[in-house]
Amino acid sequence: MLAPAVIYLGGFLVIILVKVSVLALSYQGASGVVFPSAQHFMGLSENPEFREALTRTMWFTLVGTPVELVAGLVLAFLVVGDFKGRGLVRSVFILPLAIPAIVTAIILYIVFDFPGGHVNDLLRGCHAVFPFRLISTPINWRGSGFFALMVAMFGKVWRDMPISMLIILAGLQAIDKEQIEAARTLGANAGQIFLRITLPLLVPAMSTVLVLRSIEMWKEFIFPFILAGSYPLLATLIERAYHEWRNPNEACAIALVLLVLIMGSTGVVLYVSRRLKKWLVAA
Amino acid sequence: MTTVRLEKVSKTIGATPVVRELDLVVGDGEFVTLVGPSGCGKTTTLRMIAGLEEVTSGRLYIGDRLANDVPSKDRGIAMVFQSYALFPHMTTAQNIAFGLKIRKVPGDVVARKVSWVLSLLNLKGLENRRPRDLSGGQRQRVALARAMVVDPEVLLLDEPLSNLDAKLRIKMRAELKRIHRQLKTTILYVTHDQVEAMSLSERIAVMREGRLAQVGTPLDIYRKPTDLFVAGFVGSPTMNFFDGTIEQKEGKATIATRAFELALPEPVWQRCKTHKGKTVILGIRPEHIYRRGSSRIKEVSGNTVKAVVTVVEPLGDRVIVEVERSDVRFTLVLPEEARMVPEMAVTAVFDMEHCHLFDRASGKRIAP
Repeated sequence: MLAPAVIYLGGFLVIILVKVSVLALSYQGASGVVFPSAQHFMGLSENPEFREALTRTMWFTLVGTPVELVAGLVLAFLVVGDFKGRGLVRSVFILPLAIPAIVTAIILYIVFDFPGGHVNDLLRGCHAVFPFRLISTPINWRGSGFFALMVAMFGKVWRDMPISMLIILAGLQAIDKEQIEAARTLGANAGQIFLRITLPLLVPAMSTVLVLRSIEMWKEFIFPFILAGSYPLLATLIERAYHEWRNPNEACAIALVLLVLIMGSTGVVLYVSRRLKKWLVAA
Repeated sequence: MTTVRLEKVSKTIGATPVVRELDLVVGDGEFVTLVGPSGCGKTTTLRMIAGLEEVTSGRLYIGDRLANDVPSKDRGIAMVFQSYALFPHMTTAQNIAFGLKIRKVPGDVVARKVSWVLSLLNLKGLENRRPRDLSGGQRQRVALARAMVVDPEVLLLDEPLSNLDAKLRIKMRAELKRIHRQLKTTILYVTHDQVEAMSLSERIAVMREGRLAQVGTPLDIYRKPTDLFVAGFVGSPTMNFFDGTIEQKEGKATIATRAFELALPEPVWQRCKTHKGKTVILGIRPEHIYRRGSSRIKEVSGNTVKAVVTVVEPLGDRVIVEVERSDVRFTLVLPEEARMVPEMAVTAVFDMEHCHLFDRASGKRIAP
């Protein structure tokens, strides 16, 4: 009975994790392979490329996760009510998920191209639909770390917000209508109901969104790889370490760092959402 | 404390009329129960008074104020929901204090009122529990406390006891009566359980298909149901009904069913003379049929029926006995000592002073 679970755990998790850890902790010294060795981690800590990638990844996650949560909340509140064509609207909102990420990324690559991309043309007032000339010279989106990562984040958030929406929507629908009605009869207005009833009851759904989405943000690869190639995040740096630096050990070391960060941030998110719920109730 | 007045209040959902031209007045401090089978519109009526459903037409007054368009929060009402609708993320104390905090009542007053209502409803010691850690009965009391603590002028209760087990239900019934006597709040109570309605209320409004079938004191409704529906709905076990023809032979008025003939007492005959020769429906409650020998009424010719026992349902102190005579079945309630068994022959004595006659076509009461 347990065999499938054991094979799954062994095959997909344990073996890979052990292998990655062994590689990350093995150092090819002058006198042969040293194990265990923290040499790769020490090397990384002094590597400016790694440090920059770490900072970028933190910002990417710290900004992108809340944006996805808010996008999910807004979308969920838009479609939760009863209205004609609700099914159709919901389906349209889920469409981004049906498009392969690589396709979305490449479309964004074309749209934000330099010097002749659509966005640049639009901002320079080349199209009748938007006859305002906001910039005179085109922006090199991929030439700036800030812009490149913003575009990557935009793609990531756009593609993934249906997941956030669905989780929040499920959370919203799980709230007993009579609880809202009870609050109304007890004198609460719409704002008070939202703050004191709906929001606290949505905390579990929101913390699920934050946990799932922050993990995805930490390890995001495709959008930054295509759209911000010169400004690697940790996940894209792993690829670079493996392919460009030809250093699989260091690639594994970065992967381990990423894993620890993900576990740490998940713990923080869970802790914070618990505090948040308490605070919302007490306030 | 205030009055609630409904004038021709109707509610239509889509094209379906749910409540039709309801006229009802609930007096200051009165305990009135809306009772009826599910789907009769009683809960919708309550929700209209609560401001959770719009009134389609008609006028709803709470006190002297026309309340049709007054938002729920300004109506001076509080409601207890069938599901209790406690806030799961709040403790008992927080749930109860919710309405007061929303009204920006000062903290010391909140503490005092919460403490008062906790002891009124025997909830002391449960202040810091979450709803999921409370039993059904405790949740029910928290829901009641949450509604009562805001000093509502009208307390609306929607089947508050229906999720409790039978024993607890009876206990809470007494509790509700005690609280009403103590606070004298106007209470409008909805239930489908006629026993609950009878035992709790000062007046009962029986509803059927969105209309009021009868309004009156529990005893009025029990003794003089206005039609077949009310007669069948109120009372347990249910009233026996027989098709019978009113006849007058040799100066004596009788009613003849398929299986037996019974004499009609003079006052009843006086009221149903007009139906002489016609088929009417005779109703008689099981508790008004006795067994020969144990009957409290005089056995005269024309009020006894010989029958055979078919089903016996012991209730402890009493037994409900179903008997049959020529395919006509009826039930009677006998003391436990009767020791009835199926196939036993029994002579039933009908207390015809307590019979009811209804028109067969309209179902309306004819006599007495």
